[in-house]
Amino acid sequence: MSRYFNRWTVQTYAWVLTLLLPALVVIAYAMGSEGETLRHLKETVLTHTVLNTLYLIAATSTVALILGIGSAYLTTFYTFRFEKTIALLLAMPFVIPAYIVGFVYGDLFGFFGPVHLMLREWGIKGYFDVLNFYSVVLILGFALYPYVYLIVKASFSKSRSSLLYPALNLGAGKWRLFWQLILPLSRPAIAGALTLVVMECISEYGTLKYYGVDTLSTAIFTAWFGLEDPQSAAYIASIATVLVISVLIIEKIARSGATYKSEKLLSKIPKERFTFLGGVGAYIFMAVPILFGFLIPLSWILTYGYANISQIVEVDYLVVILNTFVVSGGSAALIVAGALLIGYTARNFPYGINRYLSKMASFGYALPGAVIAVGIVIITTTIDDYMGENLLSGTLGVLIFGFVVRFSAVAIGTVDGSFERLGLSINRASRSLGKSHLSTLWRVEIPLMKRPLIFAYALVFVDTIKELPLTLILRPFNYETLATKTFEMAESQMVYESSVYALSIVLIATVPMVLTILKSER
Amino acid sequence: MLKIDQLSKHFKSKEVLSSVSLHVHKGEIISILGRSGSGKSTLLNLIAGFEHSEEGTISLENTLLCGEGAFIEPSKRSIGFVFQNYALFPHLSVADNIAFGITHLSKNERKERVEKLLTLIGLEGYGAKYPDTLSGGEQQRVALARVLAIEPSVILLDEPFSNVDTVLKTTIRDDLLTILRASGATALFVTHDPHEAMAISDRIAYIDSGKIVQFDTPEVLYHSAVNENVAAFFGPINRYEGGFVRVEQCRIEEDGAIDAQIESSLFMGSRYETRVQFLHNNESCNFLIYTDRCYERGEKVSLAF
Repeated sequence: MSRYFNRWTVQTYAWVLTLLLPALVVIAYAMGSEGETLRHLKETVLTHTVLNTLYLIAATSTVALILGIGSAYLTTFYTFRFEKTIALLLAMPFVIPAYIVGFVYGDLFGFFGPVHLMLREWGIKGYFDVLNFYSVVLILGFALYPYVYLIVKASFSKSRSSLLYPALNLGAGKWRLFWQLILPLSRPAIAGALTLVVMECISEYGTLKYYGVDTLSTAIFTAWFGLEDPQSAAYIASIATVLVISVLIIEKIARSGATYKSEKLLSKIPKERFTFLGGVGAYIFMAVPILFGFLIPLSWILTYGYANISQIVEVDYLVVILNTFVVSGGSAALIVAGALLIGYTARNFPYGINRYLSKMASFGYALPGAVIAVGIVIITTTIDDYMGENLLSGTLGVLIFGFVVRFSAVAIGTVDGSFERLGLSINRASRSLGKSHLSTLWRVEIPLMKRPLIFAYALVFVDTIKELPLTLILRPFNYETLATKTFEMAESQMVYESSVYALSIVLIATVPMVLTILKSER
Repeated sequence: MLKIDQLSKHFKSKEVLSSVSLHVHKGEIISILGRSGSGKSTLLNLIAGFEHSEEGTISLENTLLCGEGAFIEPSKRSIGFVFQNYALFPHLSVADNIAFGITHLSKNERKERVEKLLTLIGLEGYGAKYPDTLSGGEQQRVALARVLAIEPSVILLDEPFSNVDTVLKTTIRDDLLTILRASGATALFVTHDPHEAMAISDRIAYIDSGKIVQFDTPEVLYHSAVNENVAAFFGPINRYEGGFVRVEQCRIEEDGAIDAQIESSLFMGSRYETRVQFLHNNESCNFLIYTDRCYERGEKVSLAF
């Protein structure tokens, strides 16, 4: 078996290249395009959508950073009543996709919604429209701050007394300690979390469409479905790709020169208690995101979901559930298998390019679903045109491929981590006892990695269930999943009926969350 | 016979092994001895086939394992490897671990073979247990039995005693050696402990900065080291211009040839460690000598070595 080219490396290269193909196609396609619509696009909406996207990123990031860092700080450095419950609740908005939160507030503050009804009952006349940019910023801020909260909290909890005590001893107050020590030390974590928030902002489609805010993501849809102009769609998609790449480069720069060794053996800093006023302020600060990001949307979904519970025995619902499980289950299986292939190759043949395979295969996760979808449609239509018949377009395989491209990173992270924990000697022991690579993976490593693999499967499964824009573009005709059904019903004024589907998504999304908590407590 | 010829290995621009040659006879127990980072574990990994070399060849019983464009996979080399952390498969029982590499036997024969090996390593009745429930020494014996089960031509052992309790080390070492000798296997140990190497090996290959400096029996290495560094690695030496001498070969004698003066004398339990100073070829020398009594600072004595 050659050191560089063998069955494992070649298969892995092919897999990684397949994952990168849609992004490459989008860029290539956009570079070669200069149509009439495109010129029109450049003169009119393009500046507007790009600026809108940047505003949305800036405003949402600010909200997410304040809520995320603030609550991470309070739950890490202070001890208080219901500490564990609150720390858990702060992470819970993760389980409700932003577009569902958007529909809930759209209904609550709609003309016939309970807020306006109440105001009218109290004799307050007039109507304020929440379907605007600022609402989107708040909704996305509340939906995305858990990224910042969880990542920064993990980083804060590594702050050791060995660093903080000398600072306190030198007379630094809490305020200075936070701004000059704790925060700068967590710069890499904050940069990482912020990158995720920015990516989600660029990807977001459902909420923006519902609230009538135009960004690059919605513009791709307009060009695709409204103008039926794939070139323009690809062009906008390539701008989004460039934006994503810029964000990744900025993150790299922000993280550089800031790797700090964590001192595992030294003791943690003891938690403090609030003063009375500080406590009131802290509880209010933490209650706001829990209430608006989780409890209110959840109550709405539970109330209407329960009221419409009879739907779950209807054929429509059952078909949607079956569709969702087939496509998400299939994608997750493929993704985990691909992650095993990449992880195994990267670890057992750690030469040259092989060390970067995981990173390359993870690129799709940074791209908006709509961009990947556009790339895939270009590929499939080109193949179909070449073959002269409709082989790929609109098939389930294409949708699954889309999910695989977009969500491989989720499993790769977990699988790479568990390979690393397993160490090399187990693998080598098996091979020196006469077993091949495949037999070693199958008989020794997979059984030992069962838990992380199930965990990775669950994470991917949930991500694919929540994904909306990619599903909307790539699904076969009339193929409804939980995400598309929720979105379409909400959009066509059937928001109450959609609640059963929304509730199903939330319940499924809770599973890996529970698994994570059980894992961390073990 | 295991033959290693002109083997070289680089990691990026760093040369880890440089033209290493080593011929090991059947049934011999060899130690590869050196400080950490000297390249000894890399050599073991190359023999096992876990890494690729840039130059040189390794052959076993006249079959080329690697080099000259050839490369035989670790799974097909018939070379057993006992890992520093034993690397037992935690999801398999002791019996299943031992049987893991046996493929050519029927179920009953395999069972019989496992029982035999369990007896050999003194762990009868442990077959159904899981590795996590065993002590370090027991795990190590299982790891050895697992390797013996495939009847390898050569067994490689990477720092096998580094995770073992110091108190139990001698017993475990003796057990392992007895089992290895009984099996008649050719074995290569990697170790950084010269005493361990001397205790277990027929021959020792002392490796430094990727080169084999000396390859000989423990006695020759100890008494006729090729240079000061090798000598100092095996035990304390006194250096003087133009040579060196082992500390235990120096003594204070009434009619010794060299006049010296006592500098210090410290009680170390079983002996005194006495430092003396003298002139040799007009150069001031400072020697350590083991004595059975305490000397006064400034006392005049005479030395012999």
